[in-house]
Amino acid sequence: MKRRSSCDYPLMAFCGIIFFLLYIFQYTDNIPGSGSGTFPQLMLGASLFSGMFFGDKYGAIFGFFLGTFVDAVSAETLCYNGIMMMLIGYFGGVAVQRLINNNFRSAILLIFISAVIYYFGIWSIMHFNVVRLKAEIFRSLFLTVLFSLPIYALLYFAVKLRKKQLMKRG
Amino acid sequence: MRFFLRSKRFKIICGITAGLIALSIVLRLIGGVIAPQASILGAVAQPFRSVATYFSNKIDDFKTKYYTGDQLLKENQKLQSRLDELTSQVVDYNDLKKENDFLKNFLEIKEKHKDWKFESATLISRDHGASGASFTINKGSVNGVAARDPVITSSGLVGYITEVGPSYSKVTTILSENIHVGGLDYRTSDVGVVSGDAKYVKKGQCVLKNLPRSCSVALNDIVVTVGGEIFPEGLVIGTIESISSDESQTAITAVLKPGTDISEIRDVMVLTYFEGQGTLDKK
Repeated sequence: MKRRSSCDYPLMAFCGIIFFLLYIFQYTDNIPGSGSGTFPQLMLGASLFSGMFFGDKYGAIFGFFLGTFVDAVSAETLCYNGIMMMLIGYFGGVAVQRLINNNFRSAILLIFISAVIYYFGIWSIMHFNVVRLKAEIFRSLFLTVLFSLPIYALLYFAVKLRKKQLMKRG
Repeated sequence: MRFFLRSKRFKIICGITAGLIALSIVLRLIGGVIAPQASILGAVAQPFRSVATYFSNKIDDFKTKYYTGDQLLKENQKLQSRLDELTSQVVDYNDLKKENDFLKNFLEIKEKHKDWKFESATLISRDHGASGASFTINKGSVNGVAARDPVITSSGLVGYITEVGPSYSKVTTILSENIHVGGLDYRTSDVGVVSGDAKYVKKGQCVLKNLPRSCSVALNDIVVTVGGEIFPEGLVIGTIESISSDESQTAITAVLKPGTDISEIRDVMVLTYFEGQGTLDKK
């Protein structure tokens, strides 16, 4: 059942740049539906899908760096995002290598599970005493799942194109 | 499964996770410090965030112009300034003496504190997860900014610096539940604690809690800082918008509209020095 992970450095560098641009974009108040405490965490999807496409090792590395970038601007989370996204990237890779296929349905399932764990962590660690923030967290969870799927599609087509390119080169 | 749990990679991941958790606990105990890895990556991303924020603001301005039209925007600005002027005049006519005393006292404060040192800063990103209760500015320890420095605008108190990186800092605003500022009703001298409240954060309001039941605070009263090691005395926090008893019926709570609209802030001033400032986290 165990599958080998791909290790294409130019492709990973390209994805790294795309993730960094997404990271910059997500803090510019221009994401539809965000505001007033509702905020999709695009880096969560980026970490998970890195694991799914590049394997557990690179998923963990991407997750750690993206999470740390998020930690750099988050209030009072310290290393929470770094830890969480590293684990999500890692287990995303493990899941695809050992348990499920890498397809759109798996992506929906895994991003939903990851977002639930991630936001439950945020709620329980930081806002457990603020009942009213529950609604914002549910909306954020929904937006995270929704906006993460185009990232999966982007990675899927980038990997596909790259494979074609490599095949042409022989 | 057993093989997976015994794999070298899994053990490395567990080790890094444990290390990061330990680091978080240590940094939480120290307080006021950004995790080193976040500090480095934050510094790398800071110029890009500044550029992105600049373009984002430009896009916002463009959208406003597109939807409302240039003329309406100008007219709106004109009417807004006229409205501000008239509101200000109404306040003057209603309570001229009080206003004079108030301004006189503030002038005295300004004259008395010529030694206050400021560092101007620009907002580079908001932490949306905290409902606008915190944001990041583009000045850090290399600019002389330190943890617990007050952050203000010309309209009043915004919050204070909670974490400092080399080229950026995190600001916790008065909308946050984690901030506790001594607040004084300028008219009645009643003292309470200003803090954020999840119930009001969406409306951009905060609360003045723990006022004694015998207090005589009223609507539209101005609340200023009591003063201490973190905040200097007399900074405007906001005006009282509503008053109610707290749940235990033992104290009064007033809802404040901050002097500064925190959701619209772009530029702030960091008060890097004032007399009596605590030296706990200073350079």
